[in-house]
Amino acid sequence: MNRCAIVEDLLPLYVDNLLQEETKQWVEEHLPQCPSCQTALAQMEEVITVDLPNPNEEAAKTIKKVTRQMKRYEFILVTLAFLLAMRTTIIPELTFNGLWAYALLGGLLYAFYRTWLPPIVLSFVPSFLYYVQDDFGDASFTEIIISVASMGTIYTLLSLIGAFIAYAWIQALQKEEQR
Amino acid sequence: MNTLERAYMDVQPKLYRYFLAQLYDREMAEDLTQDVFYTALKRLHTFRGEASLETWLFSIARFHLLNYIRSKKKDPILQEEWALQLARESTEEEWLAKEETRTILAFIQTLPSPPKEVMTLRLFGERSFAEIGQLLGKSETYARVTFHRTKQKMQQRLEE
Repeated sequence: MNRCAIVEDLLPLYVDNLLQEETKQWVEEHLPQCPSCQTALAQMEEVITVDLPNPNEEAAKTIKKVTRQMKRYEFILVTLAFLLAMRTTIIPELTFNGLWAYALLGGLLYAFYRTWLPPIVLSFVPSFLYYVQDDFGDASFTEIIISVASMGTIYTLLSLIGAFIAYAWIQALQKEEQR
Repeated sequence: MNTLERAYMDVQPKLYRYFLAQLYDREMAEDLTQDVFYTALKRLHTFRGEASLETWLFSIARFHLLNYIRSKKKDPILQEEWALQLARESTEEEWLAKEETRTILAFIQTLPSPPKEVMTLRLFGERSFAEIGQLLGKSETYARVTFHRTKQKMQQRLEE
């Protein structure tokens, strides 16, 4: 078997000093007798430096800018959730508008965060907070909580349906892209 | 400063050079580098800690780069601009003034996909072989051997 071929295969590990002592010696025995392997070794050991420029914008500035932008989006989404909760509290019947609005909110939140928690939290918590302040006559505390929580659960389910549609959509788009 | 911000501060110039070496477009490289932080911030909750944050940022960078290249392939106008840019910038741009830089970048451009990725991640992204293996779904040895072999070929080209 051609010794050069084996040495050439070993060179990447030799350069990084990863060979066992015995193998290393074996390579070193071969090298002085073989100009072509010597050249290969020299070429591998050569340090490449390519000076590419730095970005214009400093990292700290990008961080500040992007964080601010993120907060703005989050603020809009949370405001939307609360506005929706306020609206559905004033008109408590499950109208068609209320239905699709929660599905839309869920879809938006899923598309933005790509996770299920925000659609759940942001459809349940705001409506819960608004309902609790409602006038429940002389209903007991537990009765109020149960009624409020069940409304919140309905909204959450709707929001999750929207989130699921967004999820399916995103999956389909990604499959399309891969083709 | 939180850990994500620290990791980004550390890799930001490397991300930029990684994009620049692949795209030859300073503005685009700048935009994509910022996109990496935006995506990372939005998706931080999906970070499982299987890799380091720095490696994770580079996996986001690869995702953005591949998306961009794919969109360019679809759009003939973008493709034309790309060709023009390569022709124009290779003579005018200050950062491409050195002939050695141009030769190396041109050589890397001609490589097939996995070696090209290994070279750009190593030379410009300054990633370790273990990280490169992780990013490409291959072994550390694969990254190491591919890098040294390709570098040897590149050196041959430079000596010609």
